[in-house]
Amino acid sequence: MKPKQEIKVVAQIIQELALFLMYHGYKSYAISFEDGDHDETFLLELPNLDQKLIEQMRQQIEQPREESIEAYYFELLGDLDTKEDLELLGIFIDTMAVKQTESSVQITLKRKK
Amino acid sequence: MKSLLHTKPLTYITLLILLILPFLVDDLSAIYEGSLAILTHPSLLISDYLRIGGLGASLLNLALLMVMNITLIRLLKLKLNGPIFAGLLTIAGFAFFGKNLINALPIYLGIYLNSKFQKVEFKSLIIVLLFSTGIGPIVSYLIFGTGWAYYLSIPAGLVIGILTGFILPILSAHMVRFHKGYNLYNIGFTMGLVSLFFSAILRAVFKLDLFSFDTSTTETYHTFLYILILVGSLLTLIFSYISNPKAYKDYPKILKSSGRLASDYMRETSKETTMLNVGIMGLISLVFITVLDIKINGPVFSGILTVVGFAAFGKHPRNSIPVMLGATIWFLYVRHTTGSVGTGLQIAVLFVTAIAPVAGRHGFWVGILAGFTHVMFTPLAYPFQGGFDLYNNGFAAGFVAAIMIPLFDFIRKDKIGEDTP
Repeated sequence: MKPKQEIKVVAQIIQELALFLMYHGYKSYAISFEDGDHDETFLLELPNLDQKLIEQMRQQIEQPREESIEAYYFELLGDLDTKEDLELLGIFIDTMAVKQTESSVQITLKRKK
Repeated sequence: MKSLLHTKPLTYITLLILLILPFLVDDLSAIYEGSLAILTHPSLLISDYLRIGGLGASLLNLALLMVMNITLIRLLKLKLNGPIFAGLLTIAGFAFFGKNLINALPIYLGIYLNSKFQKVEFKSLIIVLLFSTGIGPIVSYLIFGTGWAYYLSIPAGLVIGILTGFILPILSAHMVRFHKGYNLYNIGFTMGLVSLFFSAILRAVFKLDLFSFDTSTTETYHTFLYILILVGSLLTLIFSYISNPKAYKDYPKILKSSGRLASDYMRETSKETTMLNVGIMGLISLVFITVLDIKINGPVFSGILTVVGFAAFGKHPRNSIPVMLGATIWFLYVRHTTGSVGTGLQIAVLFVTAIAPVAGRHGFWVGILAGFTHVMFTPLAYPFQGGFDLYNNGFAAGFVAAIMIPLFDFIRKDKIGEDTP
């Protein structure tokens, strides 16, 4: 993907995540981003996250990335309409990891370059 | 038995059957003459290749287009997914209704040049490529329909075809925002706008008449094609069941989805569950045409195959039936008041499923309203775009979705909670 488009995709992934959490009523969360040498990392941190929601995220995001679809549908990212549709985000993400402690939940999403 | 739905053997067997089938239904000379008639036809909407070239030549056109596209997919090392399946079935359907090798190749070349210009992998543009030949008639018309000498018409057709292919990936990615992904035929919408541009120039500057062609259709092959689709749909259901008897367990996942772009059911469920949906949508299409007494001609055949193809990429009974019913209401009204229904409205009952995600998002009644509105848009969209965009319903659907979605989102703006089943 072209650099300018890639920057847009990153910004739109962050917006998609923010909308998803807010649609589900979460009022306190942090999203950070790091542009590494081999991949881009999105770190989502919340005080707590419903287990069902984590499972939903796993089901919808932990699917193989679809690079053949990316170039065509990236403009729809960041325009989440419902609480349910995270599949589009899954097309752009390679891996998802969840780390839970008593006081926080960390979700790491990676997108390979 | 799990290998039944394994892509490679099934693909090769299907291609072999497709290549043999034309020679079982027609003799060699009829196929040759029919193919020549198809390849040299201007192919503007509505061109029924069954009438123009006959069954054998139309089936050969389908087989050759499929061989070319599947070979390309194999060369690019792409795996079968929902949009690719939808693209292939759309090509198969429109092989009876405006697409052929001559009008496809310049557009493909334009898309290839775009990938080189953008310095992106050619395979990243595969979705655009598979749907791109919906604007193939611009090539065929310029070469064979303008009446210009070949030394002028051939370069004009090739250059415009390549140029169209080049700009399609740029425009289609942006157009998707216009309807927010609620029109499944997004490239059809994009091509409608491009067609509008060409049509304006050809009509205003070159004073060409785009609507003087014979748009009649033939129903001679109705029974053969009906049985073909029925057997195909049933076989798909049987293969799905044999490959995974529990495939139906994931089916509610498909039924719950709005179908908004990009809903790839092969990715979200499995090939078997998707094939279950494919078979069911094939049968639903047959039920509608049977009840409405629509006979299968080239355009209707392409409509059914497009519904079936998009059963892997956004369409399912819950979001498709409401919009089809909406179109049916207008269909019945027109038939009751005028005594007959034109091909455009007949195929709109099938192609209206372009806006199935509107029903998936806002429910049954909004779906009916959307379907009803859509079939009134399509006859207006046709003269607007000049007949170069074979996906005229996709062009109309873009406007319908762009109006319906913001309107009903506004009405439901404080009801996010309703989205949770």
